[in-house]
Amino acid sequence: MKILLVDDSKTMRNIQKSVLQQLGHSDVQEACDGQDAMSKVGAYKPDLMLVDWNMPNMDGLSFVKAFRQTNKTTPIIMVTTEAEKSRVIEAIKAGVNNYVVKPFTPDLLSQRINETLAKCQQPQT
Amino acid sequence: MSQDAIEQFARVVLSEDRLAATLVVEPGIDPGSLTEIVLEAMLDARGVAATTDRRARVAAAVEAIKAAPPTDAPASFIVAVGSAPVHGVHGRLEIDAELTQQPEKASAGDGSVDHYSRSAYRLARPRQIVARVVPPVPGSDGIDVTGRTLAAKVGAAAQVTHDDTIFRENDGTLRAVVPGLPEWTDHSIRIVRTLAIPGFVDFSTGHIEFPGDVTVEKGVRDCFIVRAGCDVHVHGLIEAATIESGGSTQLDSGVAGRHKASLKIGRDLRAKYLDAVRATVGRTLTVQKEITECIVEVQAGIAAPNCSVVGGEICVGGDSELAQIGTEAGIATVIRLGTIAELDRTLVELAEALPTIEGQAASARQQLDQLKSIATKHTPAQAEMLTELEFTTAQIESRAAQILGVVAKIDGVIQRFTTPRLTVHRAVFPGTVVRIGRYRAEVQREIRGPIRILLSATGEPSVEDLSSHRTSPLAEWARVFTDEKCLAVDALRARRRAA
Repeated sequence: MKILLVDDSKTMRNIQKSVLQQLGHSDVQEACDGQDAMSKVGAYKPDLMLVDWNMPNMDGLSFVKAFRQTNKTTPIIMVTTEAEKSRVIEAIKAGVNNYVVKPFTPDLLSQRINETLAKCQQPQT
Repeated sequence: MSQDAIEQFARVVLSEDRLAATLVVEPGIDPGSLTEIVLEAMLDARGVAATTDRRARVAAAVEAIKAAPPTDAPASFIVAVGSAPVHGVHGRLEIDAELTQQPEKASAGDGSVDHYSRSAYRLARPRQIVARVVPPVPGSDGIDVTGRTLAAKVGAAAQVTHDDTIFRENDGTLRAVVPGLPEWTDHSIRIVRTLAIPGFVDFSTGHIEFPGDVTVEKGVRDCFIVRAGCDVHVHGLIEAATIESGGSTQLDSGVAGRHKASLKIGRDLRAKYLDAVRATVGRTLTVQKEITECIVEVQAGIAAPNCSVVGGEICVGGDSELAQIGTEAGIATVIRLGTIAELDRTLVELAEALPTIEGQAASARQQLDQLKSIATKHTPAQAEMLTELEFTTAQIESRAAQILGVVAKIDGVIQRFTTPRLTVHRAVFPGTVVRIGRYRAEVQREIRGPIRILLSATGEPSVEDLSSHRTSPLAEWARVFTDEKCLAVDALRARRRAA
């Protein structure tokens, strides 16, 4: 499984990468903002993306909207400090499948990833 | 001149090997009568084959005779030559040059020669080329002056034999299959897996490093190393030297180590005596006479019913048997029963490190909780920092849990593969310290044998009198304490039991 991490913080990307490795996912690529992610998704074709909200150049929400114009299926988890309900709804409307609020524990991130993947693998009814 | 007359003055002589025909012309011959036709006829009459070379030589001889007829002595002219056969060369076994060279002198690094490292033996490694079967050279026939073929001797292929320690490739290259000492004759080669040293291991041999078995007829001198992949057998005395074997080792005369000798034995060690030696034995130790001032770690047991242990420290995993421990003079001798020394050390290190790691985890968790409690809403930067702290704390806690798991496994191995039990046939003297289970017992008065030291059903150090079969606490002869080296491990064991 190919996973794209989109976050301007190297530390956060390392934490997420470490959690993913513990879950057995080693094919992980990184992008430092929305623009960087847009340039990589075409060639890399990830199976899952973890996207931060607040990033320079192109924030997470803008990236999700742009990405969803051509790809409706790749699961996206928003990793964010935005816990307010209106913002969460805005993210889901943009096409995010799940979200994790910072600060999170490694266990919580693992749980969200597994939930998202399980949901996306279920046959659509 | 008539033909008869010519033949009085000129004759053709064939060499003994018939490889040359020589015209001998006597003084007084009429040069004009000795024409090419006449000479050719003479040669034909002798059966000399007519060739272009013969015609050229005859012509040259005729010219030479006309120019300078012999006057005082006969003149000789070679008028036909044959070619000698080139005999074939037999095939042969050619040993690789690397194996036949004299071993180089090893350098000690400062330009001087390290005579210890200069080995007298050229060993072969697996897949190394050790020899080549050189094919025969076929040879070519010759021809004599009469045109008869002179047959050349045929070169025969070498009949080289080898065993399964050698692999022969299609082109005749011979490679070692196993590491060892190549041994060869003119027609055979093999790799020997036993290195037999007829004398001492000393400056004549250098250090010995051999993948198979090593036998030494005499002894091993100070500072020399014998390192064998399999078994070692030394007939003579071992001085302050190093012996390492992957298999078993037999020392017929013993070791006088002067606290510099080192033995690392993969399986069993049998020795007459050990004096001032550091030894680790992978399986069983058997000593006939004495173990004196040694540091010895034995993984299985000590089978030495006639052996006295005086001074030093012995650590043994399994059921063991000795004649006597210590002396009436009260020499300090330590016996540690029922443990595998290397695992024991690891266990103690981990047990001592664990509280520190757990402390770090607790401190990190406390700091994290404090930060979380400061505000319910965090800035992005604070949220990120908290996530990082959360992650670091989780990692430390996980490490602590892993250590507990490893400790449990090591402990399990020690419990499963060791037997804290020692039979002593004669006596255990004061000055002896017995470490058994979680206890340390300092013997205060002589324990007369035959006895067995072991742990009771409740884990207390006990002495069984093998004559009366009565069991008493070791405390009757010794001051018994909780072994402080076991305290940290004990605490861990208690935690596991509670969990």
